[in-house]
Amino acid sequence: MNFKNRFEKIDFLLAAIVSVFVFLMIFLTSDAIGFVRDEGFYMKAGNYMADWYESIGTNISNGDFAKIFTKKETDKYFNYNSEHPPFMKELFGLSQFIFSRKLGIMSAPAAARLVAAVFAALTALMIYLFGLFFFSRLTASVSPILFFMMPHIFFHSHLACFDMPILFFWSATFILYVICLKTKKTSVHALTALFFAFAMGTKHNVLFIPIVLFISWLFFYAFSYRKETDFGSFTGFFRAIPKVFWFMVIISLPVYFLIWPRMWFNTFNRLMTYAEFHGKHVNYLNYYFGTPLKNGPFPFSFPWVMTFFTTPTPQLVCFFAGIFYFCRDFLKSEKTREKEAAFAMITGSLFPIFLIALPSVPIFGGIKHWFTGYPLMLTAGVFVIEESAKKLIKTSDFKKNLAVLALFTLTAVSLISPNIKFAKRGAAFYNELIDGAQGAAETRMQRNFWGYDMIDLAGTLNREAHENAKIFIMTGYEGVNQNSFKFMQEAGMIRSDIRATNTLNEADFAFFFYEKQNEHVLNNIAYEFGTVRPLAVSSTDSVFYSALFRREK
Amino acid sequence: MSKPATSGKYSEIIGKIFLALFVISIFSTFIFWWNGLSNKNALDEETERKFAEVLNENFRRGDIVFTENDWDLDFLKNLKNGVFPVFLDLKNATERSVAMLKSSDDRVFLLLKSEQSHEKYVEKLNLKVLETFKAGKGEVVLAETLFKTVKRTLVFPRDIGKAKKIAFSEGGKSEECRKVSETKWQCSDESWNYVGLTTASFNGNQKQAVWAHPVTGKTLEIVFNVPEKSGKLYFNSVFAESAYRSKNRAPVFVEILADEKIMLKYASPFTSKVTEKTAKIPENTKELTIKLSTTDDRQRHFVFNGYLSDEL
Repeated sequence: MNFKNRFEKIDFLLAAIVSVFVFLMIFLTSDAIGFVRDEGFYMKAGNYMADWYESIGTNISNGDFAKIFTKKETDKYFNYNSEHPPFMKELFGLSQFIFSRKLGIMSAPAAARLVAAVFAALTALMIYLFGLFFFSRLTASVSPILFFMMPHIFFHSHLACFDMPILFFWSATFILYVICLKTKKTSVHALTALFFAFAMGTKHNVLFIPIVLFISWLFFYAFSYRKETDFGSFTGFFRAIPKVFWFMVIISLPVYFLIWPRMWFNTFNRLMTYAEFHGKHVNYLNYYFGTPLKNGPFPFSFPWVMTFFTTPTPQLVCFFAGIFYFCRDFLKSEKTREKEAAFAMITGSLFPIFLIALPSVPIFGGIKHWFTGYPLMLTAGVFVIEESAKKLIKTSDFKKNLAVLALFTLTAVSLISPNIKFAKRGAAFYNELIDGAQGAAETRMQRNFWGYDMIDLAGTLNREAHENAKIFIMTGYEGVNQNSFKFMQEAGMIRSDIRATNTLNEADFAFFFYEKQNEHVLNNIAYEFGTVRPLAVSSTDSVFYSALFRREK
Repeated sequence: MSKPATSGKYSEIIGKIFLALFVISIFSTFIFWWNGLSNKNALDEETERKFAEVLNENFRRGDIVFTENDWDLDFLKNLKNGVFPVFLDLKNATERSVAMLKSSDDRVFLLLKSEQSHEKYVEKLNLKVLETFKAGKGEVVLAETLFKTVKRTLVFPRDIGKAKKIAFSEGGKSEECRKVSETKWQCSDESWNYVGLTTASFNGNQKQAVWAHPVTGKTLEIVFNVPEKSGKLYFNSVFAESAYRSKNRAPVFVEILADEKIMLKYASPFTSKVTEKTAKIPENTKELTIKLSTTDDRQRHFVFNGYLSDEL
């Protein structure tokens, strides 16, 4: 892993084109994506944050500055959804506060999703820079496009959740660490630690990063660094530790603490509660080749196989090629720092998958929980393809670049169809290696996740429902939750007079979100409504995902 | 500068392999997603229409429907009201599970993708074919199961409408539930407070059951006349939905009486597993009473099924 290119004038243009294009693609299609279960909680937490900003303004104008920092005041706004750190929720709230409450130019849910689109753009920028510095300008330009042409990625990029932001933070932290290995500049190490504080403030996944990186550094220290001058002694060991690790203690932790006001009070107990929640996280039932994965031990193959079948095949080839590249770099590099950098890239790419693969780790849902390292291996893989193609073409550099660009353009064109088909339900995408959506349904893989898939049915509901009609939304069965429903109404997706209920018996309409484990709800609806004939069905490639029913008795 | 990723003899070969795979993946993406291959196994419109037509004309209450293609459900759009339940688990169905899903001598419809599946399922499920219907490229099989079960003199889900009385009692006072349909008794204005037909997961298998949500401080009494020749009670209960995961740990107490004498008594355990009980019914029993109560009714989504048989 060596620096190959500098950032030049043209890179301003290319990076801006890529980032703005991704931002627009995500933000302008925001209304087409339904609200997942978690999103309802985070948007509501964003509302609390917007209230907090309001209250800060009020307290300051009242001259009651100290009140902002009282336990009562912070608990009032930060206790909701306290199982997750607040950074993204603070941003959702800030966006709601500015664009919805103050400027009134968009709804609160749209404002929260604006933050998601910004993070998608930042991710595109990160991939561009990673590609540029470590590979080539062509790889830098192509990789973000291929990355967002994975239906799962495209789908999650829309959501006001933590998954894409933590993907950004995860991959960027590994890239920054590699940069830290190559430079002794204190400012770079300090900035990396500062950046990491916000990563910790986003989601707990990144707490593994210092652990795995430090263990790997220890390994390299034991076998190599300690032999270097001055590093072999007891004090030398401490001097050898990269500064970024020290800064993670003296910068990351205080900043993390600072951006999470709830932790200012009862700190130890609250941190323990936070750790306990994730340490004892419930398992979400997943169907895996017809087997419901209810309780551990879970199959080690699960996330690997899911990655294999849920990534479009061109990007999948790039994943393998990328890992090959890092492994080759690890094995062939002569300098230890080069080896460590390559090893960090392997870790960054594969550790998230490996972690979920451990039989004792609960399965939290779909691939979003382990896709955090995808940008690293994809970008390296694109470079391998680029290099290999150029070697085959015996012509001028310009023509080589043109030919390779044509190859990647063809790739992007080939990916348009699956991306359009699954634009609204990227979480349900399976590639041709398992025969697409039909093959996955036939082999009884988990068909969909998180109850979001109501958007195709909303038009029919809005048209058919009488005033104040009630709709059963399957909250108890991992369907839509009340918050998400409310925000869909606020975003104008569902008529505001329609009420959501969790009790089928009192409903006039029923939303049925298919998951194998919820199959029986179809017949429950039939018994209650007197019919199994749907008013509307949402499907892709004839595979049924959700349906809307109307009471007929 | 390090050497290019693909430099070195073996690296070059591997790089070429990746390039070849990449080019293949572009073609496979084009072929699969642009040529209709991703939708190749869908049922055609004619088959879907015929499936619905056959069911609309031949289905009678109590029958059950299994569909072989369990993900392409467009045929549902053409069904008449009243044609249900439709089960989506034919691949995993067994002779016994199909027999258990049926209420009594009712029939089974199999919606098959093609005639080729006919023998496989008829044999596997040990069915006696009553009639077959051509349906586009597919076939509808109307059959009854040959699984030897005892004669069921009373089936709780099927016969819930025939209950002699359903009421909540409290301190000597009794408040009767109102029969609102052949399958449902409403016990108060609260929508969940009813006794009636539903389906629920019994150890992973969807089965018809009776929803009977108890109320704190009251006893729900469901009284049936016992048909002649009823010798044995089979009673299965479980918490529907995910009620067993609720923080409310109050059990549901079950008492089953034969003419005022307790023949079965237990407290429902907090697992997702079904509690299966059997009991001998004393001779000349006239009435069977199921009593349900709890000390905390939050999320007590109690369901039961079972039957009386002619076994002695």
